[in-house]
Amino acid sequence: MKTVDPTTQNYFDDIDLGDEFEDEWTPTMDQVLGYLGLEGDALGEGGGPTGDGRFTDPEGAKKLGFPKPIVPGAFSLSKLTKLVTDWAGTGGSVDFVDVNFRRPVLHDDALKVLGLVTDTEEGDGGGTVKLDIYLENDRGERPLQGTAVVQLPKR
Amino acid sequence: MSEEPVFEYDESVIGIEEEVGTITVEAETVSRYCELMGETNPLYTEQGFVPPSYLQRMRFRGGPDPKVKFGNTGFHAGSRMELLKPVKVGQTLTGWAQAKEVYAKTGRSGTMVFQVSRLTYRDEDGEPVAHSDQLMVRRQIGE
Repeated sequence: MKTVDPTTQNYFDDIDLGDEFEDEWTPTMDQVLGYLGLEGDALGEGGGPTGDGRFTDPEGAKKLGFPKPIVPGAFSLSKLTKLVTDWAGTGGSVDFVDVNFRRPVLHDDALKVLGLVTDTEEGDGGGTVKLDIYLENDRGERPLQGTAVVQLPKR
Repeated sequence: MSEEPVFEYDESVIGIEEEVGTITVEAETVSRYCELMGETNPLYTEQGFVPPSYLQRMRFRGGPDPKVKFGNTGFHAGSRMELLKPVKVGQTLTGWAQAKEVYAKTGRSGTMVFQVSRLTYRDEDGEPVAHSDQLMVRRQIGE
């Protein structure tokens, strides 16, 4: 399994079906607060945009049946999208990211952010690569799972 | 014979696109976003391009609401981002939102009602730079 480095370009010529790559992420309360607070948003009385504390308040999350506060879906999606843009590098581009939210991501989950090459199609000057992408937690669950389509340059 | 699921929504808003605001992509906000995300791609940290995921974080007003009446709980079930053109810091994007469709599916765990919404990001020339489709689900839990 390869780790991803956006400063090292992947080229279409070097990609094989079944290639895998990964990153790691442990979402913390500080990160979630940072994400929700971007653009100066106030958390408000309810402890976040949903008003029920699901993202930031342990008690509010428990009332909703979660053992811990959960991570906003868009934040988890952003981390998965970052894996794809890292893999595409500075010379590639991303056409689509399509993800299903299957179960919540909890604060402090030790997550692997994973990608797998499932299809390739050669074109002029480069090629199209289809990826399976997912987050996997340390309980063996995949809370986010989906696909992405990337354009990579040729050497 | 199975019964058709009963749910209500406002069909009149389906497919109608509505402008939901204009936002200029500020360098400082993108910089803070890149720091939070641990971004190291020079496209976004040095060359003034905006990470595709940043678009999802831009807060436009809510779009047309079909006011789905079904069940007692809802959740965000999926997201699809189509990227048409790169976006650079300093660009001003206008959001155009629409409710695309509402439909029901019934399986072993009961009936779920799906609502698909689309946000199109347009540049200063009115050209679309990205589409973001969001899938929300409503269902009944318990009696």
